[in-house]
Amino acid sequence: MTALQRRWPLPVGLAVAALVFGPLFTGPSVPPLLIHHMEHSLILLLAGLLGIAYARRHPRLYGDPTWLLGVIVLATFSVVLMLPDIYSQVDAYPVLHTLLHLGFVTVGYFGGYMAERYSPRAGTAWTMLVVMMGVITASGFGAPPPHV
Amino acid sequence: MPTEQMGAVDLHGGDVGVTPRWMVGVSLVIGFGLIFFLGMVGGVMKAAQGNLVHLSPSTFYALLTLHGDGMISTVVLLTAVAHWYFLRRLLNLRVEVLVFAVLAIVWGLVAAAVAILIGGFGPGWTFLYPLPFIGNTWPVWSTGLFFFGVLFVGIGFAIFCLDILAGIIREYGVLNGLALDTIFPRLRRADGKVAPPTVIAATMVSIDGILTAAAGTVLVVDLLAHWAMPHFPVDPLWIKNLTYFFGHTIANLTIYLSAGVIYAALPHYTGRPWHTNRVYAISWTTSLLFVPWAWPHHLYMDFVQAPWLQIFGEASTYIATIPAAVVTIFGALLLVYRSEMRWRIGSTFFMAGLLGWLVGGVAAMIDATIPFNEVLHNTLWVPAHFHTYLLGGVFLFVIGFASYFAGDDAPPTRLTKTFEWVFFIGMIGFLAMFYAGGIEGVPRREAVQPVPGPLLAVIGTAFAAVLLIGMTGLLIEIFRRGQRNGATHEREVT
Amino acid sequence: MVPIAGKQLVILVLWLALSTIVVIAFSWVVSSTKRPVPVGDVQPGGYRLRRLWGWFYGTLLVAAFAVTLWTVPYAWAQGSTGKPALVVHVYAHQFAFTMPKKLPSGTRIEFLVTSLDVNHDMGIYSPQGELLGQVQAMPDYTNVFFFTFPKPGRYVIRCLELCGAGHSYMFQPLQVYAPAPASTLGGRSA
Repeated sequence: MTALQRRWPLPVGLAVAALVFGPLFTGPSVPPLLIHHMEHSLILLLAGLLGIAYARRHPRLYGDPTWLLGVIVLATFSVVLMLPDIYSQVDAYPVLHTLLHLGFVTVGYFGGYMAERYSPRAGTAWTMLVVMMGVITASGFGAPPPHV
Repeated sequence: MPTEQMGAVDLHGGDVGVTPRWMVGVSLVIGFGLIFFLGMVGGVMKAAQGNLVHLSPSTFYALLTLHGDGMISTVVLLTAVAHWYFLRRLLNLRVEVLVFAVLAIVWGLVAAAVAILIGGFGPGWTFLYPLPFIGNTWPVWSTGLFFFGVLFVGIGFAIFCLDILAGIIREYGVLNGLALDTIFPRLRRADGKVAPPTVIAATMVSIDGILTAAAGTVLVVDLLAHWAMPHFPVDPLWIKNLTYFFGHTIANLTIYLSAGVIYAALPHYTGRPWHTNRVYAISWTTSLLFVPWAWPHHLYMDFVQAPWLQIFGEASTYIATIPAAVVTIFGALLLVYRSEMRWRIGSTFFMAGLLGWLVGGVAAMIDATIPFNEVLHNTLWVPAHFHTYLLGGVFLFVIGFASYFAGDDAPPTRLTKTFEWVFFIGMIGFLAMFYAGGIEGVPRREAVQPVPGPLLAVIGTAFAAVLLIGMTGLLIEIFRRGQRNGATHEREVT
Repeated sequence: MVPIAGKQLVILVLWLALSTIVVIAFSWVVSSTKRPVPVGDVQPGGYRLRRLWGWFYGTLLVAAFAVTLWTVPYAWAQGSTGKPALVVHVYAHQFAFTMPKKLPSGTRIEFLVTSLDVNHDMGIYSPQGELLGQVQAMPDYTNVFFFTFPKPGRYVIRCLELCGAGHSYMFQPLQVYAPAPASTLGGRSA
C-alpha cells in the first residue's frame, strides 16, 4: 500500500464532513432541486468510498453474498431519502438538514461497506450505481412540470 | 464462509445445496413454463381482436399488461441465466447470488400477476404516468403492488449485474473487461490473458444494466411516492423519458446477453474458436456508450421534447446497430461460413435467431427514423419489430441454449425437423400479420381494432396456435433427447 | 384493405428488400457448410469483407441520417416555410378530442395539442384509412404539430396511445372541406 492509498480516506472524510455540516454554517437555504439532489448524491458517493476503504482494511471478512441484500435495500432507500417532500420539511432548519445529511452518510457508508464485504470490488460497482442514480435523480425526481 | 482470506474464497461453494447446473435447469423450466402460459395469453388477446372470443376492454388491457410485463421479465430471466451459465467459470461467480436474482425476478412477476389478475391493473406494461392513477378501472392497491413487482424485477436484474460486474473487476478490471488492452498496450496484463468475447458482452451488459436498474429504481420510487401521496409532483415528460429509458434498455439488453451466449456456444457446433480482437473491443465499447441513449426514439411524436434528444436519439439508435451488424452477426456468419458445422437443434436455432435479430433490427431502424416513425409509431409495426426481435431472436437463442444445456447433441430426427418447421411457419405467419397491420396503420394496444385489424388478427391467431404447438413439441423433444444423452455431462467452456 | 401508398409503400419496399438480402446472405452461408475448408482459408477474405461492409454500412447510416434531418416534422425544422398557418387547439381527454369538427384542406394548420388527463395520441387517418401523421397529447405540455390536409373528405382522428378502458372507441370524424378564402377561416392567423 502506498501512502496515497493509505491516506486518501482522510481528505474524503473531511469533504464529507464539510458537506454534512455545511447547513449549520450556511443557515436555512433552499438550493435548486437539481443542485440539492447532486449534493446528496455526492455525500452518498464519498461516504460509500469511506465504507469501501474500511472494508478493505479487513479483507478476511470478504465473501458473504447475503450482504448483497443490505446493499440493494440501502440503494433503494437512498432514493426515498431524496424525496423533495423531505427536503421541504428540513430546509428551514439547519439541524434537521444536517440530520438528513447524516442519513445519507449512513446509507452511503454502509452501502459501500456491505458491497465490499459481499465481494471484493463490488464496492466499486455499488458506487457506480449510486452515481448513476444521483444523475438520474437530479434530472427531475420530484420536480413538477415546468409551467405548473 | 465469510471469514476466509480474499485470495482463498471458494466462490463455487455449494453452501445452500444448490448446484449451478440445477439452478440453471430450474430457471429454464420456470422460464419456458411462463413463456408457454404468457404465449397462450397473447393468443387469447389475438383471438379477441379477431372477434373469435369475447373479452371486455378492461380484461383485454389487463391481459395485455400481463403479457408484456411477464414476457419482458421472463426473457430477462432466461437470457441472464443462460449468459451466467457460461460466465460462472470465466469469472468465478457464486450460484447463491443467481438464486437471489432469480427469486427477486420471480417474486416481482408474482406481485405483478396478482395486481393484474386479481386487481385488474391494465395500463400496459409501460404504465405511462398518469394512466395508472387517473380514470381507471382497477383498485388503488393493485397499482402499488404492480410497482413493487416492477421494483423487484429491477432489483433481481441489479443483483445479477452487480455480481457479474464485481466478478469482471476482480478478474480483469472494467477496461480490460471490454478488452481495451487489445488497443492500448499500456493496459496489457503480464500473463497476456485477454477477456473472451462472452466476458466483453457481460461487461457492457452489467454496466448498462446497473444504469437501467438505477433508472428503474428512481422511476418506481417516484411512482410509489405519487401513489402514496397524490400531491407528490410528477413531470409527465420527465417520467415518460425515464420509463422508456428503463423499459427500452432492459428489453434491449436481453439481446446483448444473448450475444454472450452465442459467443460461447456457437463454436461448439462450428469447431472454430471465437477470438477476442480489437474490433470486438471497439464494437462493445460503442454498444456500451450508445445503447443507453437509444430510448428517445420512443418519444419522437412528443414534439415538445428537446430537439437535441430527438436527433441524438436517432443517431444513437443508428450507431448502436453498427456493432451488431458489422461485428457480432457478421462474425457469426464468418464463423459458420464453410466450417464443418454440425447442424443440431442448438446451432439451427442460434442461426435462425441471428436472422431474426437482423430482420427485426431492420424493422426497428425503419421505425427509429423520425419521418417514418410519423406513420409507424404506436401502430402494429412496433409489436411486429419487437416480436421479431424477442420471439424470432432472443427466444430462439434461448431454445438453442436449452438444447446445448440439455446435452441434446444428436442429429435432428424427422420428428424434431417437423416441429422446427411447424414452429418457424407459425412464427413467420404470426409476425407477418403484425407487419401487415403496421403498414395498414392499425393501432397497437387496442381491444377493438379498425379494419383490417380483425381479419389480420384471425389469421394471426391461427399462426399463433401453430407456433405454440411447434414450440411445445420441440421443447419436449429437446428435454427428452437431452435426458437420453445423459443430462449429467458438463462441457468445458473455452 | 387500406391502400398502401406514400411513406407506407416506401417502408414496405425498403423492409422487404433489406430482409430479402439478409435471408439470401444467411442461406448462402448455411449452404456453404456443405463444402468445409479450414478456418485459415476463409479468415483473411472474411476480415477484408468485414472492413468493406463496415464502411458501406457506416456510409449508408450517415446518408440516411442526413436525409432524415431535412424531413423531421418538428416546428423548429418547419417553422420557416413562411406560409400562414391556421392555429387549432386540440384537447384530448378520456375518451374524445375536443377540437373543431371541420377544417380546410390545402391549408397549413398549426395544431396545439395537449391532454386534460392521461397520455393520448392524435393520429390522422385519410378518408381511405391511411395513417398520414400523428402527435402525442401529454398533460401539462403542448405539442406543436404542423399538418396540411391534402384533399377534402371525411378524415378520422384516432387515439394511438393506450389511455384506459375506452381507448379503442376514442376516434371521431373530421370533415375537411375545400379551401375557402383566408378571411372567412375560423381561428387566428399566425
